[in-house]
Amino acid sequence: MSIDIKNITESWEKDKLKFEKLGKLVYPFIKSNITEFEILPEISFRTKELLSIIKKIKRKLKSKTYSYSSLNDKLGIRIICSFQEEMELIDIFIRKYFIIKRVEYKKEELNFDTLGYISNHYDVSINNSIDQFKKHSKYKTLIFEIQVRTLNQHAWSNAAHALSYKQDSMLPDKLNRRIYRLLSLYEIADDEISTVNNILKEDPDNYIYTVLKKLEGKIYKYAKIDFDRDTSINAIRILSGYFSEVEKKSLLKEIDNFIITNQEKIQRIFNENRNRFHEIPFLTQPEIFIIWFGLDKFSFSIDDNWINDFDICELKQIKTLWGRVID
Amino acid sequence: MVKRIDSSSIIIERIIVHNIPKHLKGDFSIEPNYSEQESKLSDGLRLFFKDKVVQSLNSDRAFKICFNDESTSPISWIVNDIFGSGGSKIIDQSKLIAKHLFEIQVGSNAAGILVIIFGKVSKKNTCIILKLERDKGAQLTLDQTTHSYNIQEVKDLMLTQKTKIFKSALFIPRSDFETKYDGIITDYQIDIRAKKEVRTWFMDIFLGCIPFEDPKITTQYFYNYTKQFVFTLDDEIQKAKYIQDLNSYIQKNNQTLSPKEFADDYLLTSKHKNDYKNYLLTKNFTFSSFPKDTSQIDRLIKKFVVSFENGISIIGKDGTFNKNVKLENLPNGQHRAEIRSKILSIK
Repeated sequence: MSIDIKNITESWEKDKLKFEKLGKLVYPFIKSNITEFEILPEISFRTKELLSIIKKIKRKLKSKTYSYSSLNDKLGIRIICSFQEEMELIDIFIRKYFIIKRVEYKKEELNFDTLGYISNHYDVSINNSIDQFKKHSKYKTLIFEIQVRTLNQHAWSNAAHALSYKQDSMLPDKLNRRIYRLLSLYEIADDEISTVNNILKEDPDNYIYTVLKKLEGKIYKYAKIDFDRDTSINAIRILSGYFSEVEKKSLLKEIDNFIITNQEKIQRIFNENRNRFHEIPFLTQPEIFIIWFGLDKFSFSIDDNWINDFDICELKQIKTLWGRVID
Repeated sequence: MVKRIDSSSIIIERIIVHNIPKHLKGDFSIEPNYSEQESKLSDGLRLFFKDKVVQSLNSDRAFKICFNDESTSPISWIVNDIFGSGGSKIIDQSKLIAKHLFEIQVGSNAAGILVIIFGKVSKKNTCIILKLERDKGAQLTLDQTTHSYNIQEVKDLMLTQKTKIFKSALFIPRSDFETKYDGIITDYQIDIRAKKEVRTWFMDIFLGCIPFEDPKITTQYFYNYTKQFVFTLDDEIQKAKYIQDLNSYIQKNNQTLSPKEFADDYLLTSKHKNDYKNYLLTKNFTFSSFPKDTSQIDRLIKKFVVSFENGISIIGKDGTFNKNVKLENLPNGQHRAEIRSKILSIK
């Protein structure tokens, strides 16, 4: 079947700006709101190049009826997460905020004895009932693609691309076997990373990691940015040295509830100070919750020791952010 | 139900600055320099002044106050008028506050800057009065076009330490919060010359307020609760030390008392301090400062008695015990008291 390049070019010239604007609307929306699930995946977007559009249509036309309007990835958004469990959260997120036209859970399409590319692909449009999209109803008919994958799936995808490998490639068995061995390692790596992460979260002998794991999602949720892990591990080690065993246990047991109880206040503090995070670096680190919890429950354990390890002005600033409750 | 005041929730909506020059008592040849309009607030300035207010409320020196019906200060009705207008009358009413301050100041009062804020705390109205004192060299410039002072200039003076908040008061409408008090005051400059007086110039004469809680009663509760807490400890020698510390802390030459200050200065471990704070919390007793009045406990704090199982008691008066009696734990659970002095009399 022949391809009408002129027609495609004109159509894309007409649509390109709309998709670019849609990308600039949807990308920050996802980046800002996905943190409500206490995750901070890498997110990127691109609009397709004209040349790539034409090549794709040509390629697809070889096997089926395909046209410019069939192309749903004129705008593509990619979400790359660290752990495979996060793909389920992102699935909930996408269903909550977008209208799904078509979804492919590639993993579910594979037989138990088959290996392959296993990310999730969604063809979606914006949901006009969402506040941030209400005034952009002109884009509601535009369909775009969201790809969700783990870091390992992404690594495989990139490697496969570099090797020009496709599942239906006609390669010698010996080479195919090597590729399948490699692919299985990526899948195992995802499983193992998740397992190790979950074990460490619950490991009573690894207090610092357990606390950090409990709190890192909270920083994603409220600060909406990543934090410095070395700084956190060091600070949590020092702070936990200030606490008695009883206090350490109560922190582990009660901090979730403390954050939930104070979530409106915490959200307000982060929102108010977003423009001056650079002046208050502690506010962007998970240990901020430990300090607030400590000040609320056993303030002297912090007050009496802080000066040995940190700047007293920072504690004053942290106390100022938290304020004082007067009954 | 009483609504809690969470200082972290303060939102500054309107702010105005007036300049109060130094003047001799009764000298009305000069006048306060009023701003004729509110200051424009950027987000940065809003946060800066919020921080300053929160810091003063976080201070250990902050305590609850209520308007004194017998006071001639106009602040109570001015503040209520600001509340009633939803802040829209802040220009005129803040000028009345500045005028009142100017009229009651005398030659010994330093030149000052008065900052009046209207906004929200815990989602309800609040009016905040900040009295800043400035160094001689620190000048505010009146904008001749707008006839107002620029709040940015006040911030700059504060950043260069040429001007500090010395006194602040946050008022709330009682009906909105269902409280029995009208606000919270922080005075960093309690007049040490008036050691015997509970009230301060800022609270009493300027604001027309009195402490919310009767200092006599609060002091007595502080004494009783602290003593009860000390008696929960196991170590008898530690108990003896802390009770003597309590007596001497209360008898110190200061106008206010604060459990936090007591904990900081006398309790030996963070655990004792945390437990003490939690103990007072269970008694609903404030952990920050309150005006002192020892009249109900004078007799108790001047005498310290240790009684032993064997029928012996040692009495120390006016802080003499600690200096003259050495108490020790013995391995068998008993205690040893050693007195080094000359026998004065035998009865």
